[in-house]
Amino acid sequence: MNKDILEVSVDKTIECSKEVAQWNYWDHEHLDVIHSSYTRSDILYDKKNFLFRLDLIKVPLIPFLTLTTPIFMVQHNEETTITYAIQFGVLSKTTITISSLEKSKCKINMNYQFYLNGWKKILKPILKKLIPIWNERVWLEDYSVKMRRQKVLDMNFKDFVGLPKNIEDRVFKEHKKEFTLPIPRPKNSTRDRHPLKIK
Amino acid sequence: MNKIFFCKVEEINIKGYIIKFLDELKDEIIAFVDKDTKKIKIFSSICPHFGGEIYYSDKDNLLKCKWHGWKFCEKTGKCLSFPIKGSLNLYNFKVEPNSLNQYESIIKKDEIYIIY
Repeated sequence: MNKDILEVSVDKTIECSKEVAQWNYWDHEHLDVIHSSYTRSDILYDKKNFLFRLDLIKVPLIPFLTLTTPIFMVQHNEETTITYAIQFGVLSKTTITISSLEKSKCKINMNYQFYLNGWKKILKPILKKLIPIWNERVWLEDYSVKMRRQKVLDMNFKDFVGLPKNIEDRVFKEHKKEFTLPIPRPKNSTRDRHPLKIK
Repeated sequence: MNKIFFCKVEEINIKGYIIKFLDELKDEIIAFVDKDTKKIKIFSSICPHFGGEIYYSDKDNLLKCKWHGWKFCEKTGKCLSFPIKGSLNLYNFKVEPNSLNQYESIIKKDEIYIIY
């Protein structure tokens, strides 16, 4: 491993399908509502398996200051999502690997790599301490979202429609909820209002 | 027609709304008192967008989704943020032993039954 790279890895398991966990990572509309550290998020470009986004994120330890963070996110393969971001001039690479354990259970590996060359080396001890704290907070904020999403899908929920009208139809049907990108957004979604957004 | 016990009227007062999952209906339900009309309203609390939890915002007198902040009409359940097909399912109910559907101190101990 390159000595300029700080690497932190976290493993978790959760009682939801791989597709639900992936949906959560690619549902950008929840960022500034669910996560306390986000104040705004604009998608400038997104295609089938990648996007470019600008997030306004609160500075750790100085929450009244916000930082514009460019984000590039790609679904690298069926199990792996990679996110590149730049904060305070530090380039980071987050690799999320989601493996299915059972029908409604998956394992998530979250690997963070920060490129700390030159003066940025001084950030190593603080980042080493902050990343697990930040990771746990985000994990907890998203945990109930993933669990509930699995629960409603198991009741035959349809996106943008809701539960079936008939109670008898609100039962789990043995079909796999496909994960397709991009996650549908309504016209004029709050994510699509940046003046430089490619329509 | 069936009826099922949902809550006591006074339970709504704790947070300004109450949410419960009812196995019989296979739905999660919210009951609240509309600030304008003082009438009790009961809807499904599953957002038709992606399934998020709906809560009643007393400040805005609206129903809102905790996941994406979408707003819904507190009287009809219609989505006010975007023109989507789905809306919040409105439930009929009965207050017993009084038949008033209006929130009054007299019926605090009364029970709300959902009719389906």
